[in-house]
This record gives sequence, C-alpha cells and structure tokens, in this order.
Amino acid sequence: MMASDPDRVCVTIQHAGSPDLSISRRRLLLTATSWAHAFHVSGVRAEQVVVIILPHGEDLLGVYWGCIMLGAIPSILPTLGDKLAPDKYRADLNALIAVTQPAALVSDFHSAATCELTSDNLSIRLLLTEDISRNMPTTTPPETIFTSGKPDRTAILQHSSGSTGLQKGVALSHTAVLNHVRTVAERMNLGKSDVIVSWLPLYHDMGLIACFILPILSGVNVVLMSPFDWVRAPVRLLQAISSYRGTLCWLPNFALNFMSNPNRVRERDLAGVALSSLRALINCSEPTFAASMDLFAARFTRFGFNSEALCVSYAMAENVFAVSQNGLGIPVRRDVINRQMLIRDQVAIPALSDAPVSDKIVMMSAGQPLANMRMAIIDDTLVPLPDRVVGEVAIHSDCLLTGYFNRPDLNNITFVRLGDLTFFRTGDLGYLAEGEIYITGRKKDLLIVAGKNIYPQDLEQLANTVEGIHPGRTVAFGLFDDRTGTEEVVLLAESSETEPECIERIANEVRSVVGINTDVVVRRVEIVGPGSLIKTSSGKIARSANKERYVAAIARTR
Amino acid sequence: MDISNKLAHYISTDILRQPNRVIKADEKLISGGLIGSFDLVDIQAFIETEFGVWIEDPAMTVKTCDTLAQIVRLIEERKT
Repeated sequence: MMASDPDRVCVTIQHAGSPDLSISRRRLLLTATSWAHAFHVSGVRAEQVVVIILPHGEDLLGVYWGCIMLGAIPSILPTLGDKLAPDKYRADLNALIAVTQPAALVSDFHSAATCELTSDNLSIRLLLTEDISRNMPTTTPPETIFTSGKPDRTAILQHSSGSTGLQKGVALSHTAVLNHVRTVAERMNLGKSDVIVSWLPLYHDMGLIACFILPILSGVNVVLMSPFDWVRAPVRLLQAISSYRGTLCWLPNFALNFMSNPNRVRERDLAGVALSSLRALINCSEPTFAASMDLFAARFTRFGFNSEALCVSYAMAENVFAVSQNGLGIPVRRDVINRQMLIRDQVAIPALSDAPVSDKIVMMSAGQPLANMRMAIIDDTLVPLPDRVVGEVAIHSDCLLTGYFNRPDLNNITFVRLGDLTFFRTGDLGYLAEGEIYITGRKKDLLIVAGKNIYPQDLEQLANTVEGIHPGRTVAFGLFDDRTGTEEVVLLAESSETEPECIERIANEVRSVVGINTDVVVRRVEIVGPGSLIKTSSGKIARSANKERYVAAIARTR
Repeated sequence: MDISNKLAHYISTDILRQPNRVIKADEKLISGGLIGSFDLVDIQAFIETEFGVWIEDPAMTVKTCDTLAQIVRLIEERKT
C-alpha cells in the first residue's frame, strides 16, 4: 500500500483550534519507521507488548504503526480524563501490566504527569515520546529489525474499559487482522474515492479497526477528529463529512440521538453542511434502535443525507471487529415481532399487523454475517436452534481472537466445538431470520453506555467501599433511555441508614466514587433497606431479577 | 428565580430527573459523578435559551464548569 502513490494523503488529523494536519503515506511510513527504530534501540523486541497512552495526534499514529513494523504488540489505552482519580487509573494499569507483562509503556510528558506515571510506580519501563524524539536514531535502521512472516503470532491487543476489561486483552493475530480487513473492505466496496470520517477514540475497537487500521491498510483516506472535540461540539463530525466529502462513518447508536438533538447540534452551525456524499452511516457497538435512525434521517435529509445510507453492523473485538453488516443502499430490515412471545417464550414471531402497538417490538436487523463468518444460535446445552428462536450467538471465522492474552482461565470457557469447527461464544442473545441476525440482549452481565462496555461488578465493587453501604449488597445494571439512545446506569445499594440526610450522603458518595474511578455517570442511585435486594440460591445478588423488579416498579409509578 | 436557582432547577429536573434534588452551589457536578461530559452540551444550550448567553465550547470543561457557582460566574461574566 505504502509503495504506491506515496504522496497521497492517508490520514487527516483534526484538532479544535488548529489547522487540519494531512499526513501522506510516505510521511506515515517514515514516522513509523523512525519510531520502530527508536523502540528497537530502547530494547523493545518483536512479540513484546507495548502499552500506548498518548493523546489524539500524529505521535499516536506513528508509535502504533512503529510497534507493528517492529513486530511488537501495541495496545492503546485511554489517557486519564479530567475527572478520573490518578491512583485508581494507575491501579487498573498495574493490574493490566501484571496480566499482560508488557515490555514498555509509551506516553508523553503531559499524559504521564497527569496520570502521575513514573518508572517507580510502574513495574515496567516508561518511554516518553519527547525523550525518544530528542534521541531519534539518525542512521537507517537495519532491515533485520522489521520482522516479516509469523502470521499467526499476536499482532495487536484490544482492551475494554474498567478493572475487568483491562485484564482481558483480546489477542489478534496478523492473519486475523488482515483477513478481517480484506473481508470488510470487500463488503463495504471500499475504493480510492472513499473517505472515512471518525470521532471515535482509538482505544475502542470501532475506532481502532474500522476507522484506523482498515483505511490505512485499504488505501482509503481517513479524517480523525479528537473525541473530546466531538463531545463538546458534535456538529464537527457533520462539518468534517461535508468538508472532506466523507463517504463512510461508524458510530454507536447514542451518537444518532446526540446529533439529532437541536440543542446539541444547533441549526445555525449547520449552515452550508452537505451530507450527500455519505453512502454508509454505520450504527454499531451498542444496541440499535429504529427510533434513533429515524430521528437522524428526519433531521438531516434536508442536508442531503440519504436515509438509505443508514446501516447496522454487529461487531466485537473478539472477531477483530465486524461480524455482520447490512444496508449499503438497501434499507435495513425491521422485524416487527410479538413482544410477549419474545419475553415469555424467547421466540421471534411476526406480530399481527392489527395488533396494538404495545404488543409489538421492532427489531433492527444487524445484517447478514460477513463472507468469512459462520454463525450459530445455540442453547445452554450447545444445541443449535432453528430460525426465530432466541439463543446465544456463537461465531466462527478466520479472524477470531487467538485468545485472551495470558488468560487461559477465560479461554477454556469462551470457545466451543460445534461439528468440526471451533466457535466463540459471544455472550450475546439473538435470533436468525431469513439469513440475517437480530440481537435481542446479552447473556453476560455487561452494560453498554454510549458505546462503552462497562462491567457492572466494577461499579458494584466501588459502591461497596462507601461508608454506610453493606459490602456486597449492591447491584448495578443498565436501563435503556430512549431520549439519549443508550443505557443509563442504575445502582441499588442496601444500607441500614434511614435518615434522609444520611441516605442522600450515601447516594452522593456512590456517584462520586464511581465517577472519579470509572468516568461512568450513575444516573439513578437508590438506597434500599437491608435484605431488599434479591439474591440467587447461592446467596449472590441477582442482577437480572433486581433489574426486572426495578423496571416493574418504575412502570407502576408512571 | 435567579440564575443559580434556574440552573439548579434545570439540572435536577431535566438532567437528573430528580426534581427534589437540591444542588448546592459548590457541589462537584462532574468530578462528583452527578453529570457527565455529554450533559455539558445540554447545559450550554439551556444557558443560551434561558439567559441569552453563549458560552463557547472551549470554556465548557470539567475545570471551568464543575460547580453551579462556576457556571453562574461564566454566565454573569458574559452578561456584563
């Protein structure tokens, strides 16, 4: 890719308040080569993990590809947000280091200072980009440092967030990444005229794979803006699509609601914006809703947006990224099914057309499995289920994870043999109908808030530390909020306190301790009396039963 | 209702959806886990609609908008 047309721009970096930075293939290659050489001089070797904590910018791109060129295994982690506690951030980081055993952590002065990272409080070497840049080798690197071959060795690691997610590094081989890129590029009909526009962070699989690795390896230009800039001014994404004639854009469901809200994207800022170039706006990485897609189309059609550009993809880091895809000029299928039969019998039976609206549920198709995928819906005994019966989604492909890095305990439970093939058990629930997959929920306890995976146990453990709460007597879960298009976090906690002031103090402390340690907003905190939470027969707090009761209680009050 | 009360009412009613929740002037809104970065965009729009004051994007940060008192100050600075 790099050899042909070296002066062609491959990445454009946007930062609010700065001119856009266009990076050619030649420049990216030279930068990456320099970083690879410098890392080699610093003692980093092929097949060693390198953790990268850098802000949005050219260094992040160069360091990442430098690691790849060296054959080292990069893993990008988020920088410390404004409100997160540095000690908790470091504790999570050290837990990751203990599992992953990286050779080095690459950061810059500012990020390292903000996180209070030093060589002393980390159990690995800290390499600062400023130091390396000052001492960049001036000689041409020997060809021998650039490893070739070894296609089945780990190429990259992807981590999700929180204490739990950081200790589950998804290991993906060179073969898996390349197979995935080739398959997605074919499915999306990627061509030289395409431009991907993204606000997604590169520590998220959708940002890293769909909006960084895929375009670079496919020779497609990508415009990357700072996620912080987008949150502050979401109109920037639409302006960038308009300016660069963007053709593809991936985002999670909530972003459609976010940008459709006239308070968040003001009408006056849309002057001159044209979205007619967009041929695919791909809704992915959290549950997708027809209402969110309709909302976006209703607002932006008059800006040239073609509603047929709205697509849905089902994806996960364990498959590099995409598992299925629909749309691309064909309207996404909507399966209107009987709500009660779905809830009660776990079957997706088309609703009668004259049934009351409250008896129907509209399921969005996530499309057909990609060409390299085999998909099965299985029950708890691993028996494949017929069409329109809900079960766990299991997948087989040529781009599955090698395993969770240094976590054989997890690898034993996530793979299963079905016939002659090894399938990955996704933990997602869904059904197949007319060859397309519909995701109905999750078997695993996981919250997805604004596209970010959150393990409820991380939130519960933090809440347990608040004085006045009975340790171990907390439960966190997500509730879909149709206003924001994503889940909001609810946390219930038992306490013996009965004074309103004490209860308010406890609730505030729960919000605070969760907020500064995870960057998650707990929208509803309910302090309940001792013994109020439902337990399982083994004495554990039952998340789903408590959620069901909470939802029923809310419904009664409305 | 003055600026502070109107803003507190908006945050408790529209963002938190707990109309009875009292927001203290120096209470940490963002770093205290009460609201998130996404909510700042809503507050920015509310301020413009309600008080006719536009607070530019770079000024809406965790450091500058973490308490009711800080946000009120931003509004008052721009009203004068």
